[in-house]
Amino acid sequence: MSHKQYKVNLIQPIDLVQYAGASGDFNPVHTIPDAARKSGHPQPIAHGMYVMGLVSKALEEWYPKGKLLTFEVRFLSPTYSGEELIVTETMVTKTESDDFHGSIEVTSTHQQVKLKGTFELRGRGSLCTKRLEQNKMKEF
Amino acid sequence: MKEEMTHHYKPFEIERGKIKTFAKVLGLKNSIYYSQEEAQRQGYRDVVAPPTFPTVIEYTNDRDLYQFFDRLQLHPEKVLHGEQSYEYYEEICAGDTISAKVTVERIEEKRSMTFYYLKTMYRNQFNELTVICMTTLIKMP
Repeated sequence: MSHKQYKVNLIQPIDLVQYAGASGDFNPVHTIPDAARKSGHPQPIAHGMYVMGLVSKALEEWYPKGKLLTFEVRFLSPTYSGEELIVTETMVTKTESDDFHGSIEVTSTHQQVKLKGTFELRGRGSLCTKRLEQNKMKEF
Repeated sequence: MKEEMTHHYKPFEIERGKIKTFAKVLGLKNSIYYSQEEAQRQGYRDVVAPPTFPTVIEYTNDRDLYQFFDRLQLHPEKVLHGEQSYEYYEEICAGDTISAKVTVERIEEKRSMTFYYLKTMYRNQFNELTVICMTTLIKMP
């Protein structure tokens, strides 16, 4: 079985500037080359949350009607502007209730693993992401 | 839990334009992020916040995450984002006012790095839990 893949366009400095503006995270290490160099980075470093957001874009491509129930990632190496990323669905199973449980990985075109993660998604776009009441209760 | 280990974000009003800009920057295409009409046709109160939108509430805030960093004596340039997870309970829609609080659940030292495990709870104006977010921050030596 071939894995689903989503290729992200080359990350440009302007993408990180736009993400900074959209998210409100103006840490200069993400946008100002001098600040990045001072912190030991060769280039402005992509916001981790930007890369996670790109994974959400890949999930939207693969499951246009899907609703996320859970979404978790581990950041394994930094992403810099000038890199191209590929999001791959490394594993997926369909549950009896038509939910999908999957694993994803983001790699650069140079085979460096940027992040790994998992998701649970309701395939048939139900209105709400309400989870089991008992599950909710244990958080109180 | 000691009070200095918790940070209350300023209640945040979710604006349609903010959702649209955020969705656009990520290249998201679903019309429920852009069109009030389409979102309501699908049964939502208004345009819907995308999956990672709760991070906007952490940063676009008069009491933002970096102010919590200050109290924890964390310097942003020495901190790496290790892990992030979301559990979704209710949709966040434009027009909602979201109150969020973040708590340091535990701190661990590993190989001269310090790991901060944070839990953020987001509630809407109906006091419903909308999202739970777990974040791991790694303080470099």
